[in-house]
Amino acid sequence: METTELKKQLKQQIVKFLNLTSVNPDDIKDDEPLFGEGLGLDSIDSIELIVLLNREYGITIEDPKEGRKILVDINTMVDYIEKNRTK
Amino acid sequence: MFVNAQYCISAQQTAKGYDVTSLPEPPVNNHFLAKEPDYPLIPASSLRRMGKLVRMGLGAGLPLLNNLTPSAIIMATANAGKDDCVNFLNQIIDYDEGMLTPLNFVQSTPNSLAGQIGLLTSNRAYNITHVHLGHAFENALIDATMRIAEIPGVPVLLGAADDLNNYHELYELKSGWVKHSLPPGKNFLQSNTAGAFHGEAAAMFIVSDIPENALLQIKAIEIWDGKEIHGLTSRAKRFLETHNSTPDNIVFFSGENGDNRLTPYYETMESLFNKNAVFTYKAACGEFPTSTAFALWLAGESYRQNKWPNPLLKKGNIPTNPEQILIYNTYKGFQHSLILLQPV
Amino acid sequence: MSRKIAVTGIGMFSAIGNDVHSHLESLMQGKSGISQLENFKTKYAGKIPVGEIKISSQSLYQQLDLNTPGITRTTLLALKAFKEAIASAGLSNALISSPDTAIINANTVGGMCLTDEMYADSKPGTPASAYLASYSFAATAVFLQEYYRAKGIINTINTACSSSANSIMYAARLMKAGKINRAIAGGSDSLAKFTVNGFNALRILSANPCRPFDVNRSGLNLGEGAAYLALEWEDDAKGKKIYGYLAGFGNANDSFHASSLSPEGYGPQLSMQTALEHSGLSSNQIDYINAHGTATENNDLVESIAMKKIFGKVPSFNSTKCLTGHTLGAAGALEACVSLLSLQEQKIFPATGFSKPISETNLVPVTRLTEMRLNHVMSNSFGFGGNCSSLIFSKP
Repeated sequence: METTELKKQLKQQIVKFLNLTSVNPDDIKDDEPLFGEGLGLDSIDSIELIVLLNREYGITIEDPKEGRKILVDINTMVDYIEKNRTK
Repeated sequence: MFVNAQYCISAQQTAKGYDVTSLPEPPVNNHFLAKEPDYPLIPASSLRRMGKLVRMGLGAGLPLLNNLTPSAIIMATANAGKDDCVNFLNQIIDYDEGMLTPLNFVQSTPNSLAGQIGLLTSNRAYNITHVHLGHAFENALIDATMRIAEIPGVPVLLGAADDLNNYHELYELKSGWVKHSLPPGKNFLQSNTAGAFHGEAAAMFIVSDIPENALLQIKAIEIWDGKEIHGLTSRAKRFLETHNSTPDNIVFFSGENGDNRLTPYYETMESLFNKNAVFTYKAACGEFPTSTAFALWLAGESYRQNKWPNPLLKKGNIPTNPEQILIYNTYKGFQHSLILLQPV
Repeated sequence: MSRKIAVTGIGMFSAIGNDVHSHLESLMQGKSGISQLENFKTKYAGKIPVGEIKISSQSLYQQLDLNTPGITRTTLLALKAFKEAIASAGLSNALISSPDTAIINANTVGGMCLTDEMYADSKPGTPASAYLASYSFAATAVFLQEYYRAKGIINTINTACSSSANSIMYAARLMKAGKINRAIAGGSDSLAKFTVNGFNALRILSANPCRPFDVNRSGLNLGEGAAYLALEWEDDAKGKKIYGYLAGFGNANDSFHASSLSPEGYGPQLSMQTALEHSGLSSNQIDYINAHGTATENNDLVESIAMKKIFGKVPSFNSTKCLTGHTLGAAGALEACVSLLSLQEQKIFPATGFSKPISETNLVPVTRLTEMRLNHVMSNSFGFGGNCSSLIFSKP
């Protein structure tokens, strides 16, 4: 899958998985911080995103702290998915 | 204890200037589903995570807390979290105890609502959730009266919420508490079958020891357990006498829900009230464990509007003046409550 | 007329003992009940240590002489500890069922401990199991009411991990408000696939025996258990053994997040402060704190910060969850009983798993059995939804 297509897909998956009903996936900027500022996700969301990566892309991240280094923004997530996906 | 303000989200248009004399909208597919308003006070980032019960509870509670710092947030619920619980159970099975999302689990704790109210209003005061089924709201009410006595002059947020979630309904259905249909031409009171139509509501109250501009006074409450019908009327008479009241001038708000196994309780209580008006509030809200909160809200609206909920009249003469109201409810015949209300 | 609330009876049932006596033995030795899961099938058996009671539910049914089907493990644990509490208080069944006696219960999971049965019952078309009426949070209290034909106030409180601390508080307030003359208050919870998976999903379970207040702590161990306290007015307790007085209590909301505490620990600070004010004691009069101490990264750091803020010089403290596991709805009451036993013995019981303090706060919990003059003891319980509760017990 092309990187741009993967980014689009990931944004849609994030919105659906986290039930971000007020967010349009296309409005999420690739370098917008997921946590704190930007999308404003929190610690429960970070765990949920780790589960998303597992279910959709077959990636297992054991340590949530390691996960936070990957879950910075769409760019870092897609980068990690491309390198580590098993699905 | 006085009710100074209130808000209700229920199967009727109670969130939007409800007229108590309006004809209640009937259940849809035998369910009294809530008519939810918009929720401008709930931040979108929080709303996305909320199940219906927490959403409704917040929707009813937040508008009351504008510029108010209650000394307690006291909530009641029986059904809270059941949907989230089963959704989490489904995850456990579907993913064979693998990697699971925690949100359902966190949401399944019944004190989510009370916790969220405290969180969104930055209120750090006493925060509690009572979950004792058909006595959950009654226990919460007693708790509120104690809190007000402990810290006079400061209001308390008291409320209840129960939702019609799928799994609760399924358990009720399997254990024979859901009414399947009405005989042709009969209303639910005439149905003479087991079970009831279930409903959902969130009813929130600002209560205090401040009589100014109050909607009503909660004069007394009594709760008890047990299936005996014998002794019901003497208990009710004693309850009224203890609080300087008699059955003569009371308006009866009955929790009769059309389940013919429970009808004897209600008819026995009604026998005390001769020609007095008997209103069946569950024709408006359906059956659920914290329904007496809806009854309390309805009483408050009746006093406020200086009108009675005529369409809910089962029998008796509708009084021309405000009178005391006695709410009686039994949950499945084993939990009972009496609440005596007075106009202010 | 004394307005002191006395604890005249206690009942305890957990991984470290089947009754108060066996708890005392285990506590004195610092004997941990943390082991591997055996009682039900789960992928996590052998992977996560738990405080499991090594008695099957069928066995409990027999021990308790029960015949009706549909009684959950949560209720079985509760009944056992409840019976011990009322027996130790010398309360007859007639008094238990008296209208001026309250039964105030707590649990977090309710009947959901029966994960598989509840799942089956949640599918349309499957026949109803015997447990259908037992899934509610109120089921145990409803059972106790029927079992004892109780005529007083019956209630169930659910505020997650602080539940039974709140049920004790609620009972005391009912007494002070003149609504009842005595109460049996506490809680129970049993281990379940539901909670094991739930806490694991939150990534706060440790793969090892937990290490409260240690810099390398890695999460909590779940436990199961039940504990109840019989509360009476001191004047009614003449001739009875008094385990301690409930000197004060406080509940506050952290108001920060659904499942983690604020970095400053406002909720824990406020519950401890309120309990102190309520008891009329100053912070330097607290001799020991039985901490919530779940060994999660968040809790232990925040609880340490809060203790430092309120006490300045933090009194001796530790968490006994390293021995019993986190018993959720029973924790508040179980640890209240541990605090009362500390008062009785004038000892702080050992705690395991600690070797190096948390760097930010540098607090060292008591690890060895320590003889100490204990007049006033505080017990903390903090739950999801930011619910924070503190109880203070005083030596009789």
